[in-house]
Amino acid sequence: MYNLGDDNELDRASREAAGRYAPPSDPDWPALSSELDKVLPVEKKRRTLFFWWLLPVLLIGGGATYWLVQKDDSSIVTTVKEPAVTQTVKEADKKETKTVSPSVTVTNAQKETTTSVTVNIEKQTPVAEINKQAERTPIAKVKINAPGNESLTVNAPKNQTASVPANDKAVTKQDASKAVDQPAKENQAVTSAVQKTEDVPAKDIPKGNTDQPVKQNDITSVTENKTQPSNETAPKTETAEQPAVTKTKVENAGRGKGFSFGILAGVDKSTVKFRYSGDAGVNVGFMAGYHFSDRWSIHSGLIYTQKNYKVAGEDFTAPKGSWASYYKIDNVEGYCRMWEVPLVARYTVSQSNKHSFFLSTGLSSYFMTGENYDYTYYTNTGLLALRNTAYVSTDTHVMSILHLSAGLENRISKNWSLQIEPYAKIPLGGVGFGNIRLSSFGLNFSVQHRQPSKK
Amino acid sequence: MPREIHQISSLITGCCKNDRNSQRDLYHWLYDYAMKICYRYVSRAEEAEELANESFIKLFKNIQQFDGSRGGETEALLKGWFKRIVVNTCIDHLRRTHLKLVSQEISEEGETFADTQETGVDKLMYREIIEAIRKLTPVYRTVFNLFVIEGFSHEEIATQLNISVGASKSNLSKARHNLRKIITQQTEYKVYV
Repeated sequence: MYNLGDDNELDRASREAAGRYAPPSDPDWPALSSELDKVLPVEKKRRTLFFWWLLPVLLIGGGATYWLVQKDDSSIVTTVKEPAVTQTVKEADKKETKTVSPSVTVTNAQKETTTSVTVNIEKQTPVAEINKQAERTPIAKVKINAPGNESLTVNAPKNQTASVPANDKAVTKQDASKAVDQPAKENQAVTSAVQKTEDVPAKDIPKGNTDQPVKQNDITSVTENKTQPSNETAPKTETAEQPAVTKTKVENAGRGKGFSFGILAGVDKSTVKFRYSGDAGVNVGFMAGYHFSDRWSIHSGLIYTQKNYKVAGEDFTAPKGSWASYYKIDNVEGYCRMWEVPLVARYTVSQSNKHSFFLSTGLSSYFMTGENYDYTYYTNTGLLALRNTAYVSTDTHVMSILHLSAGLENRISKNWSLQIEPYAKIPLGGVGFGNIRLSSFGLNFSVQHRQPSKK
Repeated sequence: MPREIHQISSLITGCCKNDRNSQRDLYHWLYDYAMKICYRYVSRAEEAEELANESFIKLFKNIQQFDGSRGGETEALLKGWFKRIVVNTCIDHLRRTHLKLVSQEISEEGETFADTQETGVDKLMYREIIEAIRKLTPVYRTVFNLFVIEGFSHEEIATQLNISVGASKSNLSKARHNLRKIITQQTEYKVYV
């Protein structure tokens, strides 16, 4: 109740009115901005400056990944060895027993079949004849008896008494149905079983192999030969060097248990119900993991991320009491910055010497640090207006984001690797000032250091 | 729930660097505040908007002179500093356009109202009081705003408007008188003398 006749009352009413009334006008920033451009011109900042560090990281990461992917299996170091061929010939029996074990070591995938390809060859040709034949022809043909009584013809260089077919596939699978006639120098991944025999002392060669002719269908492994006790020394041992091509793995794919650490950078694209698309955001952070085995591991870390997005008004629920809650919002465009703490389990689906493919899933927690929104809203007069509001946020959303990702890892050394990992983060609840269900999709590049294996 | 805190210090720093985003944020934050002032000094809304924009340009041009490190909250200091800019902008505008009528208005004989009557002003909305102020003549409105709402002394008003202290007091008295009259007309409230 005011007493209008009293000056003090009139003044007080006027002061209160001046402080509380709302002028019927809305901001017009574009008009003022154009005025400012005249009186206070601004040199336009190059937006790319903010991302100056991101571009080289992406380029290097992408380039390295591409290079590693393109490198394929030829990245395996190829070495040429001169394996010895051990021939045991017992002159007394005029028989020659060649222990030719064309075990083939090519790739991991074929490793298991390596030792089973040992072929013991019984040849009725005397040594002299063999030598003679070897001298006469540059490539000596040796008949290898394979299961099923089928023959396998193997070539050998002139200076050798026996050779091993280089066709790893045929030999590895013991597919003796095909006659193989290829030079031993053929540039394929073959480790001749002769090479293995080389490591076996002549005295270890089982007596049965030397004293008795080996039946044609006998196929025993070198390993078996090694384990058979024998104190006898072969009467005569000829050793010939045979060139062979061996592919040696750079390292074993399995690395066992251990920790891993890495840094990552990436791009993020966020959306709410895919209605609008904002600018790309960024991710920067580090990750650490523990590998329970070659397949399973868990990872966590700390990632600072800025997510840009645009939200439809109906998807933005402003807290009650805030000014935005009193207006009808058309859309909200802005960004939020936060720390993200993911906790994910990773399963390595496939792995080879250089590459591995993995799948990850888990939950992420968001720790908001700030939000900035441009509200486009309807005023009480029905006109559209724009208003910017910045918020300092301390919201936390623990384990409220479902993390799904798949990735490719390329090992660049024994303990270092590059990873490229597309991801999707699906909201399990609303986040931020507007309680929005923010989905994020992106691509992370990371460099990871794996602790040396503990087996 | 996040608090709606405007990072005033960072905005001021950005404005000092002529950063458009900071200027935009500060503009949106202070716009209503500026309009509340300008709207009381002029009768046309477009005029008030122009004065507000002019005030913001002055703010951004001179924000390096703002000393936010003094005691008190930066927000209050900035608002006080900006208020003076806005008021001065309005006065400058009025000097150029309306205050030429000052002497004439001083000589007017105003009607007298009984000061002791209780009116129905409490039923008025704030907007109606402001609209009543805006209906005052430029000189009366300016003096009333400066003295009653901004808290200027008559000496300050006299200096600002280049009038005598006596003229300022006289204008204030007549402004109050006319304001009562306008408010009464707006509310159709009968005043019994």
